[in-house]
Amino acid sequence: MSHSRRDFLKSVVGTSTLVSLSPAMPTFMQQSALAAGASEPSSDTVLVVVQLSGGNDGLNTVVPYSNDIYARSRSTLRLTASDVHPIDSDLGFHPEMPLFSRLFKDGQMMVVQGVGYPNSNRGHDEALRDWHTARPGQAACQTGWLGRAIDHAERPDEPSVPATLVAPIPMPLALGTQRAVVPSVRSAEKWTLRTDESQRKGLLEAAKQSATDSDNPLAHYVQQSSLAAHATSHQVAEVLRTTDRQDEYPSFSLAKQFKTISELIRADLGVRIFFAELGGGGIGGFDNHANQRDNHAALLRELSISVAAFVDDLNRAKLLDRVLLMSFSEFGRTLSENGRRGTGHGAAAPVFLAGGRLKGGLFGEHPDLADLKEDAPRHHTDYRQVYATALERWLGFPSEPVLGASYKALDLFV
Amino acid sequence: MKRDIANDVDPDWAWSSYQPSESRPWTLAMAGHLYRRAAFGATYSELQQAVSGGPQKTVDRLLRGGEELDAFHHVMDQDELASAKSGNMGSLRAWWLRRMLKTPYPLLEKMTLFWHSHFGISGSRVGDSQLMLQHIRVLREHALGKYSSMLDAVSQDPAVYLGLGAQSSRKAQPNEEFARQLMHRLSLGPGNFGEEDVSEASRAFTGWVVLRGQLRFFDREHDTGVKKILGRSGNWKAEDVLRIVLEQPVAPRMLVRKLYRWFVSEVEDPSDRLLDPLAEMLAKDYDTGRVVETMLRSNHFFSAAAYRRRIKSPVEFALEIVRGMEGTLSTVILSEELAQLGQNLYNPPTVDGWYGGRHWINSATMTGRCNLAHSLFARNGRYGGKLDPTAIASRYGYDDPTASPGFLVALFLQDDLPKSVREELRRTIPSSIDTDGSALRQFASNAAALTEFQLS
Amino acid sequence: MCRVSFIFHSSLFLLLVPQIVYSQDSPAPATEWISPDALIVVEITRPDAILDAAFQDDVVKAVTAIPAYKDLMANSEAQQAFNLVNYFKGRFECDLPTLIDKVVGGGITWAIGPNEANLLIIEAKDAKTIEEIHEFFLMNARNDAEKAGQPDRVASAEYRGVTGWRFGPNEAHAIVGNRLLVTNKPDMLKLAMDLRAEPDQPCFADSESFQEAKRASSQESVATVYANMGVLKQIPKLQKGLSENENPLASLLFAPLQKSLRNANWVSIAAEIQDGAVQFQLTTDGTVGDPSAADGFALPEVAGEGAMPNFDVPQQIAGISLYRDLYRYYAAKDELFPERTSGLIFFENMMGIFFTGRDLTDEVLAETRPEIRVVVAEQRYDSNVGTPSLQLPGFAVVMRMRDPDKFAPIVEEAWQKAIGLVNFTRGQQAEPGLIIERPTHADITYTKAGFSAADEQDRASVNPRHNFQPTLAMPGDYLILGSCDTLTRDLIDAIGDHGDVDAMTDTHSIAVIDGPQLASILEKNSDAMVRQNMVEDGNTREEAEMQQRILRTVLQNVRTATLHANSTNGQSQLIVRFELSLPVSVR
Repeated sequence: MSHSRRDFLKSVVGTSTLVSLSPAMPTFMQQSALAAGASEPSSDTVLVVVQLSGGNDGLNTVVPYSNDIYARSRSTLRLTASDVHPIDSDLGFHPEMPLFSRLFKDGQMMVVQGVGYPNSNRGHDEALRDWHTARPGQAACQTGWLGRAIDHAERPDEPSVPATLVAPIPMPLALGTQRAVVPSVRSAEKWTLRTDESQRKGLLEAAKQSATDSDNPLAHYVQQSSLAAHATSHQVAEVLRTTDRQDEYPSFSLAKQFKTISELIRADLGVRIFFAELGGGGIGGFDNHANQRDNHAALLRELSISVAAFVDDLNRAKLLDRVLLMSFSEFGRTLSENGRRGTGHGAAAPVFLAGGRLKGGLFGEHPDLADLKEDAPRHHTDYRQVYATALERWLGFPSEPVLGASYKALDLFV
Repeated sequence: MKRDIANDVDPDWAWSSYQPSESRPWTLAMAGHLYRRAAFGATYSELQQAVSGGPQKTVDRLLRGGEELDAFHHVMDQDELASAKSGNMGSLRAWWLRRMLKTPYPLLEKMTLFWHSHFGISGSRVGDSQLMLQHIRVLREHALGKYSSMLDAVSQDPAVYLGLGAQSSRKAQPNEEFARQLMHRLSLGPGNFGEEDVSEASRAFTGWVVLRGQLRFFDREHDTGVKKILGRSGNWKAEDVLRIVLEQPVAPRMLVRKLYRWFVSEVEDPSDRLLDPLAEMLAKDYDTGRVVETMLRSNHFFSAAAYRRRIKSPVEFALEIVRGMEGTLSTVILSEELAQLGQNLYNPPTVDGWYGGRHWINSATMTGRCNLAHSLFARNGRYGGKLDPTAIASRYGYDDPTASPGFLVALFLQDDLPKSVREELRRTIPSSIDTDGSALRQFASNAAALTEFQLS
Repeated sequence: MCRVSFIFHSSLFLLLVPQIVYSQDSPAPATEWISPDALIVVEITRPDAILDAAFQDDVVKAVTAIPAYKDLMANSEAQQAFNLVNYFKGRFECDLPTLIDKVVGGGITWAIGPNEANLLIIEAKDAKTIEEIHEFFLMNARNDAEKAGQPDRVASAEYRGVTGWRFGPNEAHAIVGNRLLVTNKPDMLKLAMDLRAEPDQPCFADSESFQEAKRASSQESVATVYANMGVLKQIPKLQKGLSENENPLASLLFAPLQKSLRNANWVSIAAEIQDGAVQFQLTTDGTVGDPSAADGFALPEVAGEGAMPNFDVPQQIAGISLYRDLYRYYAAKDELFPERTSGLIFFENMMGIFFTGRDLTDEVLAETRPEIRVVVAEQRYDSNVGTPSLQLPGFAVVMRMRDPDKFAPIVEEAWQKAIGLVNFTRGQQAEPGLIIERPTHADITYTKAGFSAADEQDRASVNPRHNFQPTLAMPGDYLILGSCDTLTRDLIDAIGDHGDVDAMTDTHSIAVIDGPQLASILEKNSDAMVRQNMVEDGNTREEAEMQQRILRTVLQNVRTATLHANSTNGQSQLIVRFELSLPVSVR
């Protein structure tokens, strides 16, 4: 537990409670850090996963603007050198993403290109299930990659919450656990108690004095949870009271999710994993089979502005070093247009990473457009490598039991 | 210095009927304990009746169920079926909660909930509300009956095949899900069978296919060859596999262990020695009702080894409040809030069901429970102030505002609270007169937020 | 009947917190005693008219005859209030209307805000009655306070020559001349007394927006609400509600209203009672803007255009007629709803398929005219199919095409593709599919799809899917998209009889609901409604049945409810009118 958090709690609950309160605070971080070994993972790092629902057209997000095959294949959707924000002489960000370009130049963003998996599925439900479970093709799998990490991270004596859904969608399979209960928190207020604070505090104090049923470990555990809930509520209320960043976030749905995540990170509750979403759940806004140009541009604009607002906010609060944002989409799209000014379901696509401890730049080559599989780019980086990187090198969780096999992590962090 | 209280005891004594004595008296606290485990909490009159009637008579009543059971089930079944026909899985959750609240036979619903978690069939996988309703009815029908009959019925239940992802098993491509889950979770347990047993048993299930919501058997797709399952060879069919697995001595023990965790304690893992008498009893004819009865009547059940040795599930937490208040409220809203707290009826998280115990509680769900109690009792809010502590206290003669808080502590916590907490709780009632009952509502929600109220 | 019960309850409220009047000088209007920063002011200028209407013999008879009324009166709180009223009726030897008239007959004014302050000013006709009632409550309040051991709770003080009273912590009142003033913030009472003593101080009655609103509202009104939108708009929640368009469909329906409220400095709502009808008229100085703006799609570009009168078909439950230029609406979607939700993308993808890659804005929506009508009606079931276990009303959208020769085949193709896709998807889930037919009605051949009923056992309770027979009919330049066959045929007839009807100039939205017809379909689904009520509201079956009965009784007494929205002369108006079966009128 960090010193600042201990001091903070001390001021919240008073000195007398501190001793009994400390076991209630996240120790699993330290333990999982020990378990991880590898590359000095920090114990208070946070992973923010952003789902781009519907299959983002990677080819029009990180655009191979000087590529002839690209130019020939996209008669209406083609973006040219004068449209994009160039990364290099071959690639550039979509015209609506000047802020991604800025983050990229500042080293706060990385692009992992060509991410996918062998024999990837091109149906929405199936592909999304594969990305969520990290067990491609296993229809019977009922837990998600993050859910399994949470079940692993949960400690029997530890009432902290390892992960939470922030997006306004049903609980995604990615967060599907076997045992732990993962909350869905659409606004930080939801984490505050509605009961009278002074009465609550009095009752907690009284319970502590009575040392109720000392040989009943369940009673002890519930007691710790009540203290943690009390402290959590206070911390969130403090953050909401003291920070007013209404103006820093635009009114987009994704930006609101990031605002909530930022508040929960500031409140220092020990949540390690947040799940956000863009595209409206369901089949998803990125599924542009028709009239793709304007719709895709609107979504990328929302993505770019929202992510930048989040990164800038965390940076100002000196929290960016603790945060890794990672986007994914169930698949990329076909290179060719479909006659309705849209594109079909594809395969490999780029994954975007943002944070304060990235090496920066592009990771991996842009897929070869002369070597497609059924009109879609092939992958060279398995998505489970990206997951392994996030789990092991960022969160400090062991990845093998979660992913079911050992995947080579990527060298992305400084 | 943790004492292993569950495993120090003599099994014979443990499972003998509890008879109150001076050293082990029958108290309000014990009556509350029984109603938490064998029902969804008690009303004040049920508690009083239990205290005066003694433990065995109260268990008799709980095992038998109340008056006009058939009429109750008939009306409920009709309402549920009409809701299921509209295709709305959400309203089925609400109807089940309402049934749990209103039933004259709460033990039956408690056991149905146990089996729902045991089989772990999720509506989101089955995708058909009528099949899900049918599934829960199968579970209810056998809830206190023979486990062997239950497995027979379940093996004819299309929802189970859909829920396990085993809707089609053909000779050329046997689906292993049914056989695997049967051995892994429903009878033998991990380590007590091999991969060979699963694949051989799967051949016995070939030919069973769910088509348009109906389970059908196609002769030509059934593998009629000899299968070797758990060391026994023969041209086994599905029903033979069910018989063979239940004949294994590990099977009754696994089920008894699960029932122990459900009815007695989540704290210690009981020793085989403690469970053996019950396992032997179950092995005879798989009568789960008799094992449940033995547990509920036992010395061990009415001892410190069981008392407050479980964490209430969200459903238990909420329904005990509502039953205690003798009210009815929106079970549609309640079912949604319980899902938020981790218990989404008709949708267990995985086929392993709700693991529960400590996993029900973390700082977020604890906040959620406190806030749920708050809104259940709130005068205005989602539940429309339908639970009225002042009215219930007054119904039992506690009209005086100084007496009604004590009534609530007896009702919800059977007066079993540390002195300091009880005094502090009393202090939360303001000294001024509680003219509109708001202070008592707040008092009630404070009581429901206490550690002791999270324990069953 | 709603009105009656409202009046009845508010009269009780007044009786519970009253006070009196001594001098007989004619005071300034009550609005001159109200703070200039009040947010909302309600004036009941003609309580006598409301009382007359509410207490007519026929109305009283109708209301008390409702079974639900008896149920309501059986409840103990109502009984208590009733006893209190009876006590005063006996004491003053008069009937209820006379009693209320004595107490509030001079008018009621209620000011809300700022800072959650409320000030209620009641002008009595009969000062003596109100004085006696005050004495009664004063005595009770003193008794209660003493019983509670807090005799200080009831207190009085002098301010500018007026006695102010307090019965409890959040209440203060005073009697000035014929007027009783009640407030939750004593400061408001003081301010009223200051304004009374110094009439030159700024007050609510002076404010420009109030005066403008007053000029705009009808002289016939019996009650009026004024809202200061300039201030109310600053409330973050309202501001958000007036500026956001998260749902494209809501934006299509409500953008004009939203826009006029966003532009408003003031809003007034005036209530009128006419023969057999109660009408509320909302007026605001906020305009709908101009046709060229992104949200100007409800304004005609051509003078004389507007929403068409509603259709009238048998068993009609509701009709909506809108003037909405879908082409302009969709062309401005980037401004109207910048976020791309999955629903919108799904819509675009599907439209792309149905309309074979045509541009939705320029090649599809541009082909439709801005007059759009929606009809909801009970449907009649074919005896060969049977009656569904749940009886849903039929819905139809009626539009007009600019060039039917060109566009009709395109629509037909799109519609059949949509049915094909539905069938394919249902087939994947092992659900029965729709069979397409081409029947003829009134010489119009149209397209209809329906489910086979061959498997149905009980014709009195067939599967609810038989509520749906999607139809497409295109008589002349009309385009009818219906959910059931009978409604489509009735609409073909209605269009045939229609002839040339003129549009309602300046009107952008009309809606009409037929109460008895709505009650009829609710009754047909009564079992399902009761069941739903039981789990949604946690009622017993008896309570749920009672609620359904009350709802149906209310609806049966509302012959029609109509809504009419227009924009003229720099002001916007929204009129909601209830035609009642009860013969309410002003004597």
